[in-house]
Amino acid sequence: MEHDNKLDNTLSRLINDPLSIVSILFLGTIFINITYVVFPLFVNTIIKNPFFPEYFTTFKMGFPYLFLGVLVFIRSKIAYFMGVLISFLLMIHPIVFDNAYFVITFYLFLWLFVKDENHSIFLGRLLISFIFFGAAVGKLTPGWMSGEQLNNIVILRKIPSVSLVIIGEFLVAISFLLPFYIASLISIFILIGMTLSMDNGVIISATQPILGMILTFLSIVSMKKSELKLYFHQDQKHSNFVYLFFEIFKINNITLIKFKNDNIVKSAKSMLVKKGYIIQGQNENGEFLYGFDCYAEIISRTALLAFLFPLFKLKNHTFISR
Amino acid sequence: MKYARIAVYLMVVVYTLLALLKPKKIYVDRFTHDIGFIEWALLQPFPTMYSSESILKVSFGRDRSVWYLCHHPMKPIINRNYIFLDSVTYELTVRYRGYKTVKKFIVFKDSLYTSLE
Repeated sequence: MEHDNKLDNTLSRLINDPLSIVSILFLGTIFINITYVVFPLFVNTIIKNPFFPEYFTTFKMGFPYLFLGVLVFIRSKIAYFMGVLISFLLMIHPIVFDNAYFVITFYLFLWLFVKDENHSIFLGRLLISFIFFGAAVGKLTPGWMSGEQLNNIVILRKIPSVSLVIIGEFLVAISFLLPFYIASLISIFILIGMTLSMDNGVIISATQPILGMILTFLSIVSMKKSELKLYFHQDQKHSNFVYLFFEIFKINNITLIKFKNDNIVKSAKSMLVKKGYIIQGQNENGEFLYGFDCYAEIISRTALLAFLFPLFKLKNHTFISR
Repeated sequence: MKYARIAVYLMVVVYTLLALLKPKKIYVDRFTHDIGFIEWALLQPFPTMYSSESILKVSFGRDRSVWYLCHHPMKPIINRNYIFLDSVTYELTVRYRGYKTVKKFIVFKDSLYTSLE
């Protein structure tokens, strides 16, 4: 029983923390990188190279890299600092220093390390823009502009125009100056486009943590903190099942109330019973919410999904979904 | 932590200025390893993300050589999958706007030797 409670608490912490989005996506990159990064770090022997100090030849970074997947879930500054340090060591390691993925890992942990209670969203956005600034400025060369360099990257699918790549990177580079929601939308669109433009999705390991950061910012900004009451009809089989689901995840700012036909508040009774929905909500103003509106309110309080809430507020979407 | 945040903002400003005012260091020398290790390590956090232009000529013995463009200059040299002979010569050209560096690498029995041309 105690074990179950611990599991429930872990699940609850995971679902109520917006940073879980970036943590989960980052963990995903470690699995994606098994062939490209993890395997070489364990298997490849280092070519003796006078450029690197000698101690690097015995410098095994396989396990520390895997440990990053744990550190990103530990909500502690020490863990994040270790993440910064390990990422930096991987950036200068003779086997993987060419991998741009560790630059992103480095900035992700750096943001986690220096952020304040309000999550320093602007700083996070600036770091994402900075990553793309370096990439875009580096591509302003005749070879890149003519498409010669791009066309010879074997992992790349066909792209209509090389300008798309450079303009896309520049747009993300200036995104920290744009309004938050517009900048997020543009960045997400470009990151997904970049990922799809690569064969076998090899770039996904680099785009995924950035996407995770953007979705985390969106969740933090979009999350509602006011209380939502959810009513569940005790005599309905489906309603009881959904109640159990909410009880396990314990979403913050959501109160669960079970009711029977005879003990419900009189004013609410007719609405709740007549509609026959599995869940009915009541917001902080006392308004009853059904169907789409109720689900939207639940999503706005679920840290892991709150980034979807701005979509729910779009007028056309609301009209069609209702 | 407030000072750490200020340091990160400063870091972004310094790297941005470096990329604009000293592009050769970041987009050429860093890829050809023509700077000291410590300086190179300090420049590594600058996100170039496979920028610059690089051409690699790989020679197998006297008569056979292959030219190709690569998105990261050091990739074929550091990755052992590319090294399947006892002795392989690489000629690497890295260009960024008006800057150009040609460098030769020789891998001989698990050791890498370099020479500037």
